[in-house]
Amino acid sequence: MVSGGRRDQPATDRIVTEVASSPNRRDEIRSGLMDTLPLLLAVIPFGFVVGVAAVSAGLSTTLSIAASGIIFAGAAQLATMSLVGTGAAWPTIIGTALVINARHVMYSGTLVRPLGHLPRAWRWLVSYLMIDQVFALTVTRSRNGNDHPDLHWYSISIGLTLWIVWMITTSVGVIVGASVPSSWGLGFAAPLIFIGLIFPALIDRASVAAAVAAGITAILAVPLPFNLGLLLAALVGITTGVAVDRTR
Amino acid sequence: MNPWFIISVIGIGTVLMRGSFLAILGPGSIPPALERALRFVPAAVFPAIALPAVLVVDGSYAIGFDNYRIYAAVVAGVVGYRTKNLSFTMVAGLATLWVLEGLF
Repeated sequence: MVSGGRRDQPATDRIVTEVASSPNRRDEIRSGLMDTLPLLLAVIPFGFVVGVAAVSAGLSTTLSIAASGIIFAGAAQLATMSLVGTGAAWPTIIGTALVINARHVMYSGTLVRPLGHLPRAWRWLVSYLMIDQVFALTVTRSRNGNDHPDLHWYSISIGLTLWIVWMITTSVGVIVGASVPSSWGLGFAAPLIFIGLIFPALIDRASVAAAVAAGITAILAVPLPFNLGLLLAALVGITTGVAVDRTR
Repeated sequence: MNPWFIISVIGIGTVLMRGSFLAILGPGSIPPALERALRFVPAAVFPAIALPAVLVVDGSYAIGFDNYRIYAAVVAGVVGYRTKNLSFTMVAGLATLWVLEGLF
């Protein structure tokens, strides 16, 4: 695969050169690790629950743990496990999980502007790690005027930390097989983080309109299956934003 | 069907979607109209993830004074708006939820 005429040196050499010549790299990594801390309260119990769900669905210990590395997407894993557990047909299971993850195509398009300059190997690594939280923090930081060439170190430090925590917590869930008491309300930590991320995303009248339209649609569309409500809400919100933008 | 096959196909499909524009198509693959639309992804997606989690409990709507998550979300929203700090936002929301559940 030819990547835009940048074949003068092997990809690994380009990466090494870039690491050595990045004065802002340490700042990006430090900021990434700091911003990861509040996410852990949401990710740790979630990973545990996904691990429990995997063994409960009848998967082997090895596959239950491997699934977290292979899929690395909490909502899709949870849906997969519950469908495997109920003995659903395999095309149904695969189709459901992929529909749940379809929002990542939008994320991928959004990230071309801040991260598209990277060598292809880096873009694959960032893509693999790009779960909701990593996308949310990356795009928020890139909007805050920190849109410089080292931004990927921010994304990767968040993504790798969450990846390690995800592997550990699902493994613990698989092995212990019990469950965090739901009365602790830790399941509410993740939505609270997204509430905190809404305000930095509201940069003008059109984005406020997009947020309101998407929020209302998401609430109304809850009865739709397979997380389709989220996709529909995103499309309605984006369309509204574009329409309001045109009226300026 | 072998569960390893199912998990692997889901994993490969997911990484292909995550890499679709960023790693596969790359810069220059996005027409200007789509670029304008993608600008609204964060504003549209974050409330669409957050709001149902506040207003829907155990699969059914919970829109009323007895849903403490609503108060917790409002407190978190105010703290988030004022501080722009995710840790403060989350702690304020969870603390509100715990206090209300402890009191009532």
